[in-house]
Amino acid sequence: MVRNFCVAFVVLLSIATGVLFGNMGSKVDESAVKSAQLAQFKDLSGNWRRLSDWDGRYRIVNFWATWCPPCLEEIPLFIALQQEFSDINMTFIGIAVDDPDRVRDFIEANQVNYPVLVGSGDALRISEAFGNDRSGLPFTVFLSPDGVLVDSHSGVVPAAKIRKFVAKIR
Amino acid sequence: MLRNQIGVILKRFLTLLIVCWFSQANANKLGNSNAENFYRLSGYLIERNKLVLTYNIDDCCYIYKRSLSFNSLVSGAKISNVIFPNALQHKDEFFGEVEVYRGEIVISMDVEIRQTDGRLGVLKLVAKQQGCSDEGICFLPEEKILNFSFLSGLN
Repeated sequence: MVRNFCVAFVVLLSIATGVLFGNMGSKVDESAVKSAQLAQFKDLSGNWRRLSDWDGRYRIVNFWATWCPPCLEEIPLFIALQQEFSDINMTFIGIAVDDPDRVRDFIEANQVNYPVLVGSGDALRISEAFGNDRSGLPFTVFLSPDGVLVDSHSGVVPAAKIRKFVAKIR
Repeated sequence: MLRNQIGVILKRFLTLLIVCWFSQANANKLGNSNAENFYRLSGYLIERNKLVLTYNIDDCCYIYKRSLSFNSLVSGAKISNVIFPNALQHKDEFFGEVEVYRGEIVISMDVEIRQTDGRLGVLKLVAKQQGCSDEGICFLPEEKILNFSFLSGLN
């Protein structure tokens, strides 16, 4: 009898594991992640930049747009944390999927204190290489100094998740 | 005694499994929509010069009323008198009170198409829209093109 219970338990455990983890995120291709960091976007001064320009630093890369309310909701948090963590080897980088003039207006009005690059649909394709399989915004990725994708988040990032990332750096 | 304890553990585990299964099912319901599939757009001509568009928006999502626009890509076809249904009020932290659509919405408009007898009248309509999901994910503004063609005198 006990043996039957044990068999049933193992079967249920296998099913539960499948239910819990079977649909958790999609696999991200590491070479695509590396290539994505070589894609060029213009900054607000008109210079071409790529994410690999910040190699050697931890990076929190946020894909956003001015037409996306949840994106605007989390930017004050990024500004505050960029200031708070200015003493560590980490930076936020924004990639706006938007019109440059609208982005510039927003950046100036809100005194965004970290680098912001601007792209269009191509920027969204780049976010997909990092695992943004729903092609939605905001989407945030956490990169190590050598460009390894440590984590990603679709939707507004909880402050706790960023602090946890920073705690590992310290 | 041991049998009873195992029974209790098994029951609790089964309950947990069912809860997990429902959570996962609910997550899938919210989580599978993306920019390309969170709504479906169809259109047809009624009467002689009246076009009706129908949006079917997934339960998880909404479309901003202000994001909707319709234009003809054909010089011989003109759109006017677009009638939108009543929208729902939605509070955005940044944009304040905005109007959104959920579920099924029907939008009608007048169409004027210049036709030559015996030849197909053509309307190429570009519909623009942008929406978000209740989870706080927004999709890129999108354009969809609908093609209509009909003979003079026919709908």
